[in-house]
Amino acid sequence: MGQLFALVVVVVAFIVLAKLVRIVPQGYEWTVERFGRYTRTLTPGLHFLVPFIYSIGRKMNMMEQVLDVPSQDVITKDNAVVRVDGVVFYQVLDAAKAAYEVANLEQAALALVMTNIRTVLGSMDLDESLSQRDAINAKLLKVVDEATHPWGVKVNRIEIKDIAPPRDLVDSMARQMKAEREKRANILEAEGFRQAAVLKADGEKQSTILAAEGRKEAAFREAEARIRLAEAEAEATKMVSEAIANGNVNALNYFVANKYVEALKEMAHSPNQKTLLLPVEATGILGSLAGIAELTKDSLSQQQASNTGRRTPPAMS
Amino acid sequence: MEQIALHYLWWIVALVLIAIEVVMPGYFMLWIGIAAGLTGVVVLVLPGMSMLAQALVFAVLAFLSCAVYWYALRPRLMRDEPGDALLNRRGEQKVGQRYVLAEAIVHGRGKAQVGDGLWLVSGPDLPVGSMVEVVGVNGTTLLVRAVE
Repeated sequence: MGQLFALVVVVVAFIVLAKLVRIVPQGYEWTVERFGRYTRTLTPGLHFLVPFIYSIGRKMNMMEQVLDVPSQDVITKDNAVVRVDGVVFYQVLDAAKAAYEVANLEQAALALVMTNIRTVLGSMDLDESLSQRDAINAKLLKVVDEATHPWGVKVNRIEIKDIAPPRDLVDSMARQMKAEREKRANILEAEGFRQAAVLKADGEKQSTILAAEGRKEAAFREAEARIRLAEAEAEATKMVSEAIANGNVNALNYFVANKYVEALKEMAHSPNQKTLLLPVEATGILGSLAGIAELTKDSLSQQQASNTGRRTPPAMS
Repeated sequence: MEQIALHYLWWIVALVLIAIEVVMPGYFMLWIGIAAGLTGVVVLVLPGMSMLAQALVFAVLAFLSCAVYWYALRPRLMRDEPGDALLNRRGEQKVGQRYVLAEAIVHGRGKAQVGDGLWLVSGPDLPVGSMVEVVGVNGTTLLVRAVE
């Protein structure tokens, strides 16, 4: 009997000690109640609590927590139904308030966020709600943060994850965008054609002007050339006539005869079979040859050279 | 012989408790183990104790060893602990920081821009945009003073 009692004493001592020592893990705070009434909060670490009088009330998580907002159907200002979900980041700052001021903190916070999402989105039309996530998040945060202050909770962040309009609406939005882009493309194309036409006409105008200017310039030059040519011919004629005046007329005949014979040779060499050698008045050429003979005779007589029995060709009248 | 077996039994209990302490850290197992070890010593020194007396000695020693830890050892251990008292305490972390008011403090209540969010502040009435310094925390409200 004594041994049994001893065992009971040991066990009771053990249990009392186990209840006396409380270790609150980091990231939590426990509330302490004395006969069911809140007295203080235990911070992380080791604490001794007198059993029978004090008891642990709630074990509050003091770490920042993430709350998933389930997706719900929300009607926007312009009567589009969209599915919206999100996340809430919140942290308990006052363990006692969070434990006792609100019965079910998570449920309460969630309800608050969900109803406020409906409120905020209901005051926006669809396009706005799709493009202004920041504004929605800010509005939600402001309202929910204010509302959760009495619970000793700080809502740090509310993010709308997804705003999904119904399938057919998405399709028509895509069609609208496509039409918008096509319109822009068409306008750009037309613009391009117009500019090209303008440029082309401009180019043609420029080229016509330039061609005319070229022709004008060419005409000027040509006239000038003709004047020069005439001048040169006049000069040449003048020189020739001067030469004739000073010398013998037969000098002229020499040149003519030369050209004449050369022309004949050219004709004979011509590869063209269609070349027709017209009957040439050979006497004319011979006449010019006679002219050459006269020339030589003249020059010889002028040089006072003796005739070395060379037979001069008979002169032709 | 039986007594020898008994004090050995106490020491076995002590070692088992200390081993449990190693596996499941909870501080008090260690001290109860030490108490069991001391009880073994007492049984060794004073043989012929009844089981009940031994149990009482053990209970008293267990409480005593815990008390010794709490009052003698713990203050010294706490001194060497790293200063992570601000962990998980968002409000206290902000004491000494300076922020800009996003809403004017009217009747002692306003809001300051902290990071990308707003915190409730209470302090002297100040216009929007003025700089404030956090001097304390009350739940989710920061207590601030004006910064010249």
